[in-house]
Amino acid sequence: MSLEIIFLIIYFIAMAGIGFWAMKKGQQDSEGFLLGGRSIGPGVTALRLQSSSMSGYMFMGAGSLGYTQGYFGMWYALGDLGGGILNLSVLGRRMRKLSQILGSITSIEYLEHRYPSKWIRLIAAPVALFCMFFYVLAQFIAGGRGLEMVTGVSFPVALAIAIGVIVLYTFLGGYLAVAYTDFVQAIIMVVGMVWILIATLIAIGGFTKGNEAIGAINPNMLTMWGADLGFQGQWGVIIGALLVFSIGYMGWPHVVVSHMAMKKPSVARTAGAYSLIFNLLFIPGPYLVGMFALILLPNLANPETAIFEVADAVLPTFAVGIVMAAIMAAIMSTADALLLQAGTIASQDIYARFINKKMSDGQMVWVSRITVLALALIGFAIAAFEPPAVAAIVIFSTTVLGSAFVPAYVCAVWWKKANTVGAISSMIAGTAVSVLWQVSGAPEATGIDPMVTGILASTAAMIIGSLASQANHPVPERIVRALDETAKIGPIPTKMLIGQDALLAGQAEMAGRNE
Amino acid sequence: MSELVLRTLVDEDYAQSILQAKAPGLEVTSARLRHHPFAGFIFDVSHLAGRVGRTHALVDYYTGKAFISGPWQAADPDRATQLSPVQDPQWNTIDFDTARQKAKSLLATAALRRARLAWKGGVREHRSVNKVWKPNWVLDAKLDGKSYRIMVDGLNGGYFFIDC
Amino acid sequence: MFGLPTFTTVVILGVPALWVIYTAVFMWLSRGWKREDVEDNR
Repeated sequence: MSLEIIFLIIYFIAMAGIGFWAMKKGQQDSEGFLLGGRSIGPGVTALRLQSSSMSGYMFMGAGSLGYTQGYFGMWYALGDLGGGILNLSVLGRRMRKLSQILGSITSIEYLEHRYPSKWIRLIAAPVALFCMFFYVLAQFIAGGRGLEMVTGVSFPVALAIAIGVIVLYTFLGGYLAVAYTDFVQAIIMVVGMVWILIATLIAIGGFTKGNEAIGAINPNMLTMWGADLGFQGQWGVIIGALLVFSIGYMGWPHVVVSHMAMKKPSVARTAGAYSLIFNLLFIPGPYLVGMFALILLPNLANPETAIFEVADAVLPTFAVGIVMAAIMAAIMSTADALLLQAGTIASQDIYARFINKKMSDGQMVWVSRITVLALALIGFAIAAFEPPAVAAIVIFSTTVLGSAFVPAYVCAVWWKKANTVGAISSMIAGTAVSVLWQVSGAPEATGIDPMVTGILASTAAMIIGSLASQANHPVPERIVRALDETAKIGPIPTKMLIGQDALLAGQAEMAGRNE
Repeated sequence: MSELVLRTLVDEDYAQSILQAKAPGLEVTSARLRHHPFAGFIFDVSHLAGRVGRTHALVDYYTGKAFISGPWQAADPDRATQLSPVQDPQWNTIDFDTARQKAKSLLATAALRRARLAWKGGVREHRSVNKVWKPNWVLDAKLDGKSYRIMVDGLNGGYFFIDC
Repeated sequence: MFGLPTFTTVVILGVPALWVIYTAVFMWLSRGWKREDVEDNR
């Protein structure tokens, strides 16, 4: 058994230990047990927001972009850097307040409460499920590739093991993946990445030397325009690259749900600062390591494995074990979080809402389990025979989610006139335009990224749809009231604003109305 | 129909002092107690490894919002006559069965979030109360020349601005 | 600088700087929230 595998096993046992300890600690009263998820502070909010969305793509897709396109890949990183702070500053506080007042539990249900119509959920849930499946697929492939490298078994076998462990993880989750584990994993991800980056820089003789060596291989790699300067002046593509992980991020149902779990609205502020620090430390690393892999390992068969191979080449043996274990664990926790969210959407937002309204809690769990198993099997079937490029599928699914949901989530809290008709048109237009644009090959023909056209279409549809239907479908009075409540800052004495107990909002509203 | 009036744990003076601790210049001009109607449920929720926890849940009749609450303390019977209910606004009110559904789904979701897919289900209703009246203070207050109406939770002292 | 073309240097340092400024402005605009939190903890 290789040293890496031993470390991998030790690591999983340690994570299980932390999870088990955390559960024991929270076990003392049943209230704490059930409310555990509602009291998330800024550190955990920020790191969860980041780590629940990044791992598979960052370790494979980002490395491969760096390896094949040089500094052009940094456009994605540069947008990504601000994704967390943008999300928390624009949506965080208001979404936390509004979801409390409307009593929403899932982020799709929240959309239906804000834009009352069953069509909202009927459209949003399948779109979210579809895109999240691709996102999970990316994690599966990354997990499989990592395990393939560590153990030396063939890819389909490694993939089957990785998916098996991930699915097991979702069942053991209560012991493993509580907030403490997520938090620890996010920190280990940063430490592991920074470690690889530093070791790489030492191996190539420093940042400047590395750039010079890359310049000697292909000077175009040092420009922001791609390996063959193909993106020079292609601002439609570049703006898309900048938008996809910054603005697009606000449309991910599985990410914005963490706003709803914050302890109090002001957590958004500190969490925003933490997320920027995390991003500055973590995000540039994979792109740079991927690029410098060109110097160390010029003949990689699969550029997606650049980071794994570089780690193997530059780190001391014991460190390879630790870092690889951290990467694998991060991939698994992301996949597990996504699968659980997909299970929730399938059981709560589709099955309970449309198929069986009197769903029992036992049935709810079974629908979730079947969904998770089905996604795992389909994922295996696709990834084992023809694994698509991780970067491509992640960017594609992010583009569709962003185009479909960004206006719906942003206008939900910032625009009082945004109504059901606007939201439905926006989701349909965003999904349809971004998918058709991509599938029809328009990005190559026009030089405009689907993220740009998708988000323009969904924003326009939101504005036109809402304004055109104001007379027939006004925003219901109680939602206007809730929005007033959400926006309220000025008239309440600032000293007293923050200490307010949001749980009383509804009762205060009802008592006030009838005084 | 079963009914229960919760004991007011925060009295008028205490409610006032909570607000004044936050804003020292605040002056309370009047205070009245209002009772807000909830549907009350006590559930036995099975957790992992065969443990069972007893949990209280309240569902607001007027907004449909479900909460997990601490164990209920009933008011002294002779004082229950001073019940002063908040009027039914008639536009958003839910019935008892809907409330039960909401309470169950809240607990099931919370349990599932903790125990994840290893959870076998198992939210059993132990008892229900058709109407649980929860006390809230409605205070009129003045601060820096402006008037406010503020609600103070009669159980835990949390507060919220009604209007200003 | 760093053996990179000027434009690349400007972009990879400039855009993060914009995000840092954005964060700083956001922190400044929401500074009232923090003062309240401190009072909360006392």
